[in-house]
Amino acid sequence: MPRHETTFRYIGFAAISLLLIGLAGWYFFISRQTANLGEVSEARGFAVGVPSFTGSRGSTSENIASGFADAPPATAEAEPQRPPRLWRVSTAPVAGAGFVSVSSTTVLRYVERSTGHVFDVDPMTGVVTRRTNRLIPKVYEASVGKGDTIVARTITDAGARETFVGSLGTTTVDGFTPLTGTDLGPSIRDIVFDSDGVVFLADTASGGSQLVRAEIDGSEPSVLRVFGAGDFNLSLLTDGRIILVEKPSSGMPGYAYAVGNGLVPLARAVPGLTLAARASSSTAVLIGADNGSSLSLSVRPTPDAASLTLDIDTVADKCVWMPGLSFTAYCAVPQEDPAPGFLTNWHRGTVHTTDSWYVVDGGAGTSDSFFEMKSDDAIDVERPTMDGGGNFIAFMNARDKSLWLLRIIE
Amino acid sequence: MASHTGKAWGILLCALLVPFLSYAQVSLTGLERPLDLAMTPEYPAGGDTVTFTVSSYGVDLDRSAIVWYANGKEIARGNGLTTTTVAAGKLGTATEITVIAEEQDGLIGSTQATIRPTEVDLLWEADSYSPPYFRGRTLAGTNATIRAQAIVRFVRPDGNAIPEGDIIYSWYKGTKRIASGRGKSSITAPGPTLFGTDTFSVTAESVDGLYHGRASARIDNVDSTIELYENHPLFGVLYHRALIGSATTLETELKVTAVPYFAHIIAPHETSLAYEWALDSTALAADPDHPETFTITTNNYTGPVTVELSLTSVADLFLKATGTWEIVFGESGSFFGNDLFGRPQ
Repeated sequence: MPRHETTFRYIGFAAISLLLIGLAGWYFFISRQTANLGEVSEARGFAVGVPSFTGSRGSTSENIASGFADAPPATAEAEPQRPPRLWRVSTAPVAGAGFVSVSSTTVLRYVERSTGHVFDVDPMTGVVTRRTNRLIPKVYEASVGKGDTIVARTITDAGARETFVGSLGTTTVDGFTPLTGTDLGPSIRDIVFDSDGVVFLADTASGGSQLVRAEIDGSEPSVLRVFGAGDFNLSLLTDGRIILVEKPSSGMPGYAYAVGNGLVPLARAVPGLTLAARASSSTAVLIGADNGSSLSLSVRPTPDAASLTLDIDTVADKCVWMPGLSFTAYCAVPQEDPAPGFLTNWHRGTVHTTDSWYVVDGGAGTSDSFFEMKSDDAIDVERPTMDGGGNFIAFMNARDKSLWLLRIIE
Repeated sequence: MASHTGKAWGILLCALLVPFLSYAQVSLTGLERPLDLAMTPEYPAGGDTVTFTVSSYGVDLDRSAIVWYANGKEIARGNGLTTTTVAAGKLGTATEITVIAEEQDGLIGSTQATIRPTEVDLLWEADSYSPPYFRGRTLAGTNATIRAQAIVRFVRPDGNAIPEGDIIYSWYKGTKRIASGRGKSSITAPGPTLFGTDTFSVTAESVDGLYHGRASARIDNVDSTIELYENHPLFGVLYHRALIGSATTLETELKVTAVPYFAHIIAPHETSLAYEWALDSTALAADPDHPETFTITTNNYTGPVTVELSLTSVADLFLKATGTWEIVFGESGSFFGNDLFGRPQ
């Protein structure tokens, strides 16, 4: 009996020891898994609070606020000063800009990207005035039209396009002008203002697209042309002509048309086609080509004339024609030859250029250096536009979407 | 005396031949031997330089005097002159080309052709993915569907364009005709297969058969590639500034969004896609609602991290895209006005 008790006692101790060892092992196993999960969670940011975007690393909000104009002072209350010849109007990203006439004064109007707020800039004095306080977050593209009209294009959470078209009111509330408008829906591929309304390229149910003219609010649409296929970048000249340029890719032949009584070809089967048409009856065009390995730019003064190859290598999207009778255009030209496949990479934001400005004599087919931008600014010009008097060029820097203004006359 | 006799015979011969050649310019007898006339390009556009080449099995052209006429006016002449060039007029013009060849033994051959300049453009687009407001061409990824549109300009001498409904279109993919019909100016067809290239072409002919044109487009299959962009809380996805190689940021938290260019998808967050994210080789689960977007929080860490992404699709077995980026979280500074991604230092 005592021997049995001793045996049972040993077995009991052994069982308890095994149980304790097992529990200890389980504890350490669980602890290790918890540590792994913690590392993963920390890596994903689950262990930190909502970021305030303030502190020693800078404040985005402050940066936006301070981003409006480098110099001169940006508010209407400040003493007006003449801006420098090349002036960074806004360091904060903008969605689009254009010149409009306000009370017979030329004004550079732009839409701020993060808020959709509309600002007016007096290019002579540098005074910046905020016009609206309607919040339209994350505006990817914007354009301004006559009659205080605005297009602001955003992206929904599901990735669909939204196209808000609105106009500024005639009164002010708390110092701001009400902005009212409507959303034209997700089918709008591209949109421009014309004299009375808008012209847009929209998806069709069959997968093609149609060119439509409508009122600002999208009412009274009239279909100008239906395409079974073909994806275009749309623009409108001050003479009322609608320009369609097939979206380009390096080395890929592209076509461009003016829409009038039918489609009038402006350029046919040009590899990597970009095109800047002059607003006049002469229909001069700057034709950019990207053959996949290099860029070239040519000018065709009239439809029947032969193209004259210019000695500057750039894309026509970096060019703007001077309004009026002059055959003068201004082009931003990369100071170093871009790597092969430039257009494809440029549109994907994987490559940028550092440009300087050249002036082009479209009649003679010659070009000269016009304005050299400081290399430390590293400006990759996109969406240049010129005021009606031919005094200023406004453009965006494709590197950071900042807005710049260049005065033509020193 | 002999020389006088020879001169007299010469004058007589000229007197006999000149009326014949003049007659040949305005109307041929129809009894001439037919000649073959090739035109390059086959479908000239307005202003093109057109090369004509005449050939024949019945007439020895190398030993013939050949005269070329354009709209009744002589443009070239020579022994054995089997090729000549003519500038096509504008759209809406017609240039009648006549060639007459006469052998030394008097055997005559002739043929005619008419240049009616036409223009046919072939536009196309693929249904592959590219982000909203992308201003470049969306190329054909794997399994892409191609939509093509022919823009035809057939202009009659009175200046009127022939309407689309009076034109017969024939569509080809390679050498295979895939569609045809009156007024069928656009088609939808499968795109090139993986690593393949297809040539889509269209021929157009007016119903009366007078006007012809052709255009073609070479479409390459491209591999889907991923670009990574910062998804900024205020500005949205910075599509204009892709993260390239090693990118430096001064933010403490960075949200990035992957864009699978030219993948056969409608949206990058569709459920058929599988995004496999890894941070410094540690696999992390993606956000189920937006697996294309990923947030990195530094927790005061400064230094490089490696982001890896592999993208596959259960709906498209050929879709396989990968990418690796290094993001260096910097010490201090402000967001704007500093070199961020890919900007020269």
